[in-house]
Amino acid sequence: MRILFCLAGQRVEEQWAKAARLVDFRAHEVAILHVVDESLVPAADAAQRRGLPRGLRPEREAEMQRALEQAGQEVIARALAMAREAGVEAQGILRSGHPPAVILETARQFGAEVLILGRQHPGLEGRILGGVSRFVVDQAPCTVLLLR
Amino acid sequence: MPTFTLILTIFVFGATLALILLRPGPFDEARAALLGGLLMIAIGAVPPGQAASVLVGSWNVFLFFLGLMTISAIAEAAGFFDWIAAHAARASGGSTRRLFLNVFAIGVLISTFLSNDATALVLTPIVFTLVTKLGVEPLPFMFACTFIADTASLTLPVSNPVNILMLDVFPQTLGAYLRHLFVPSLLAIAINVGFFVWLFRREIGGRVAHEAMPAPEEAIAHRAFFRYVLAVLALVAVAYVAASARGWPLSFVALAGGAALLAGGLAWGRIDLRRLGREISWSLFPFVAGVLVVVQGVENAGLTARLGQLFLSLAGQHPLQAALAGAFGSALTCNLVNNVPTMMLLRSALRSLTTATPAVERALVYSTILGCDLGPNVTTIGSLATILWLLILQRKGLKVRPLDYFKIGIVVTPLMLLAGAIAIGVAASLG
Repeated sequence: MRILFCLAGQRVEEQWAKAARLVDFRAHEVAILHVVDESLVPAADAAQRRGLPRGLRPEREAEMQRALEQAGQEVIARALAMAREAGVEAQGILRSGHPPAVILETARQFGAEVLILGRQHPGLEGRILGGVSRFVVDQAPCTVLLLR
Repeated sequence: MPTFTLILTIFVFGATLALILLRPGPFDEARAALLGGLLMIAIGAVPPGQAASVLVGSWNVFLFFLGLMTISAIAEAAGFFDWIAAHAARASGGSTRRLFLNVFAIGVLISTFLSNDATALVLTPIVFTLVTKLGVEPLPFMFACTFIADTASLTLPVSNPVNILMLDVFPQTLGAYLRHLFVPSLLAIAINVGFFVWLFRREIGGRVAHEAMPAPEEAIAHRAFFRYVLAVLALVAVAYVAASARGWPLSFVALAGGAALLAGGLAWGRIDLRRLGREISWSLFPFVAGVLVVVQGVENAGLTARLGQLFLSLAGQHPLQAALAGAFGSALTCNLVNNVPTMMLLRSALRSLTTATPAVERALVYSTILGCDLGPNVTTIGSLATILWLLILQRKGLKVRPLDYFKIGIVVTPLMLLAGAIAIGVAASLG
C-alpha cells in the first residue's frame, strides 16, 4: 500500500514511534511529508500591525522564512534517518503552503491509500487553535490514521 | 457648530476610522488619517489655526516617536536584540520551558525601557528565527512576544507611546504613576505568563539541543560600538526614570539617546543613513497628525464631552467602579478602532469632566491607560469588521492565523483588565 506520513511539528521521533507500533512500514511504499506553514510569517507581521502604519522589516521576514525552511529540511532528514534505521526505504517530501491544502494535494499526487497524520497541538486543537487534522479528515480521499 | 457641519464632522470621523481599518485601494492608515484631518479643516470643523496649534502642542509625542524608533533601529543594527535573545537561549540550560520564560523576561525588559514597539517589531522576528533554528515550535514564542509587548507596556510612562498621549494632558508624578500602575502591571504580566505557560504546556515541554545554541558574541559585529550602544541604552533607561520623576519631557531623553547612538554609529562607520531612514516608520507621523486633527474636530463638535458624561455615568462616584468602566470601556473601544485614536478620544473626553471627584478622575485616567495598553491584545486587527471578514475567509477553507490570536486574546485579556482595574480602583481610593 502507498502510505503518506504527514509529520506535524518537530517531534518526529515521537510520531514515528507511535505509528510504527501500528503499521509495519517495511511492507509498504512510504512517503514522509513535512509542510512549511506559509501563513506563519505573514501572520507574525499582521499580529504586529493592528491598525497602525508599521510592520516587520522585510529582511527579518526573509530570515524567518529561511529558518522555517531549514527546520523543515532537518525534520525530513531526521525522519528519513529513522526510517532507514528501521529498514524502511521512504521518500521525503518537503512542501510549503497552507498545511491542510498541501497535505490533501500531496495525498492525491502520491496516490496515497493511507494517510497518517501527526498532531501538532494535541492540547489546543479544537479548543483554542484551529485544526489542520480535522479539515484533512473531513476532506481526505483515503483512509486516515490520526495519531494521538 | 451648525447642524450641517456637525453631521459632516460625524461623517468624516466615521469614514476616517473605516478607511484606517479597511485600508481599501490606495489608502494606508497614514493616508486615511491625513485625508480625514484635511477634510475636518475643509468642512470648517477645525479652524486651520487650531489644527496647527494642536499639532505643535503635540511635539512631545512626535519627538518621542522619532527618538524611540531611532534608538530601536540603531540598537538592532548593533546586534543588541540578537545578543539578548542569544543570552536568553543560553540561560535556558536546554529546557524549552525556561527558554519560554526567558523570552517573557527579555520582552518585559525591552517593552519597559524601549516601548512595546521594540518588542513587537524587533524582538518577535528574532526570537521566531532563533527558536525555529533550535528545532522548537515557533508559534508559542511568537504569541509570547506579541502579547508581552503590550502586557508589559504599563510599567513606565515610556513603555507605550499611548501612555505619553495621556500623560501629556494629565501630567502625573512618577510616584503616582507607579502607585496606580505598578501592581496592575505585575498582575497583568503574571496572568499573561501563567496563562501562556499553561496553554502551551505541551509545546514547551521538551528539550532544546544545547549544541545548536548561538553564542551571544556572534551577534556583535563591532565590539567597541556594541559596548557603546549598551552603555547608551543603560543611560537612556536611567534617564527615562529620572525624567519621569522630575516631570521633564520624555521626548528629550529619547531624542538625546537616539542622537548619541547616531553619533557613535557614524563615528565607528557602523550606520548607513539611508538604511536607517528606511527602518523608521515615517508614516506614523502623518498618521498621528491626521488622527489628532480628526479627534479635535470631534471634540469641537462637543461629542467627546458627551462621551465623557457617558463615562462618568458608568463610573458612578466610586473609584473602583470608575476603574472598571475605564478599563473595559477603553479596551473595547481599542478593538473597535485602534489604540491611538481611542486614547486621543478618551483623553479629550476625560478633560471635559468637571464634576468628577479627584479619586474618580485618577481611576479613570489610569484605567484608560490600562485598557488602551492591554486592549489591543484581544485582536490583531482591532476591528470587528475585519474579524467578520476573516471569518468569511476561514469558511472558504483558508486558514487565518490572526483569528488564533483573537481567540487567545479574548480569554486572557479580560482577566488582566479585571485584575488591573481592581488594583487601580483600590490605589485611587487610597489617594
